[in-house]
Amino acid sequence: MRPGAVRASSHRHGFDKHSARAGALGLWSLVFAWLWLSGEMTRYLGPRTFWVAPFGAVALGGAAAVTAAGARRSSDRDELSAGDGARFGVLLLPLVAMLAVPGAQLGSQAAANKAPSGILVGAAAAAPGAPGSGPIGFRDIYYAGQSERYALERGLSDGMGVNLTGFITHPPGIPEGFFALTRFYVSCCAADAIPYSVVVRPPGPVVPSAYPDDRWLEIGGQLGQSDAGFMLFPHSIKPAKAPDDPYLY
Amino acid sequence: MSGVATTEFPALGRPAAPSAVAVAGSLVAAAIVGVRMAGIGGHPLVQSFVVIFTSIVVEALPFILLGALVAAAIEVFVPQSAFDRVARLPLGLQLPAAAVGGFAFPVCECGSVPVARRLIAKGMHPASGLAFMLAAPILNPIVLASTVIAYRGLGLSLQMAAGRVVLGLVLAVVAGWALGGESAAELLKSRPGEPTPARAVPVMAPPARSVSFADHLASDFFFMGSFVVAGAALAAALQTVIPQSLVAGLARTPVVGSLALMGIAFVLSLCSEADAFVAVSLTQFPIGAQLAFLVFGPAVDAKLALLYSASFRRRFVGRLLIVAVPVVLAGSLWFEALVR
Repeated sequence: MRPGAVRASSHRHGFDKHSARAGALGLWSLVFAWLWLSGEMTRYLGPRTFWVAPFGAVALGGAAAVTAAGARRSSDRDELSAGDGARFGVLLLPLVAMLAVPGAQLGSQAAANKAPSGILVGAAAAAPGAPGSGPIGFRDIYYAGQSERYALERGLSDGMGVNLTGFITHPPGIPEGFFALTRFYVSCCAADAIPYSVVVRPPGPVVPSAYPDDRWLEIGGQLGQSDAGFMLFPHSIKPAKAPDDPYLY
Repeated sequence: MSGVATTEFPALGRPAAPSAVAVAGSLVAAAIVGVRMAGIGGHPLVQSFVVIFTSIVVEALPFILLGALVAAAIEVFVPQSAFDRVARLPLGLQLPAAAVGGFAFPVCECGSVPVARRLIAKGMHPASGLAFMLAAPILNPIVLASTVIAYRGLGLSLQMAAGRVVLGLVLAVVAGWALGGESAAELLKSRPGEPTPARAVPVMAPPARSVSFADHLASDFFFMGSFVVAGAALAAALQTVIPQSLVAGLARTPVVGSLALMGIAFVLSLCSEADAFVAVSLTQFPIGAQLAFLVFGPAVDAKLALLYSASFRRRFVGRLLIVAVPVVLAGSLWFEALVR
């Protein structure tokens, strides 16, 4: 050993680096297991990467076990340096964020920021070649407003009845008294979430404060064509609970 | 080797005293309670930041682990003679072969950095190591499949996938050649507790291998992971604060559009396996600009900038930008002219 090297034999009052590493890996493994088993992974991941949660739980758990075994077999006991401690602290910051802000969600602020242009209908995606199936959703309505062919193939037209659940946003340029019902569509994780909105013309007199941003609503109504695509004319507006899985895919 | 490394080149810095750790832990606990009691977490900006920050980290960590696993296996189980044989190949062969090797390594950009760093430290020519690092996140099969699926609706899936492969390869080879002219010791930033390439000890008794593997695995994971977390925080802050429409509004022409989407790719710091689904939604940008987004992002983004700074010396990020921006811009304009 070179002069100046830190050996456990001379400093037995610190933490063992290998054990601390194994502990931190084990903690992250438990977090991934919790994300997987509780379904909380849907808050952060999209279906393409759901596998990351069980994989992370198993792989990080395995790495923790390998590190712990390696620490037991190692003849040296390396103390955790202040630099190592700082790195561990940084790596645990996401856990602190999850604990400090539980149940965090992307809402109207994120929708306004993530819309690639200031246009009324938030997102701006190209209509897919083959229409989707199942109930009509936000993306279908947006695509149908951009592509007559898509609308035809999806059977989406003026006067069609739809039922949508989403949160309220007010994109730039939306007329007074109108609001948009919005949902995020996610591919891999919340960082790539894209907002899709449907403009809603509420019935009766205009009361702007009646529809504050981020309130979840379930709206049944009929679609009507406008210059900016399809608009929703509701016949029922009910408060809704934010769904456990806040995204659509 | 790490068992050797930690004995020969012990960790620098003072040991973390238990009292300091206890104080830090108490402060973190107090901060969590304080944030929850003050209701700061209910602010939309905080909510957006936490979701984006956490999602990037959760998605990236397993890939970091995968990269650390491969890097540790390379360090401990691949004999030095194999690297010596590769190092003897002419650079003209080594460099493109390393870039094409990216096809066989299905991880995103976070995982390729520790592997490339290890390959260079073990004797691969730095230019080849860099070419591999830049090519793997673009050329791997999962990324190409997601590109095909994302662009199927526009009828451009093959063109975009082919454009991504060609421009990704060109960028990897050109940047590898331009930035990899120095020795491994000059290129790689040394880490506390790790032997420099010149001092690495190649011989190791078999019983030490499992200990060494575990040590390298954990060492790489924590080192790279901490920078990915910092990069994710930066990317989340930028995504939360800067409206995308700010850049999108500027971009109708191919040149400005490509530059703007390179800027957005840097800010968003998306995983290369997901970025095609975002690129296809940016329909107000020309198709060549979308290709620029798909090639530039996996090579240089906010989280990678921190990771590169921690792994390489001498203003690596700035030099990479000087090479990558004109190459990607020229390639995207060429693609635009071909496809339009």
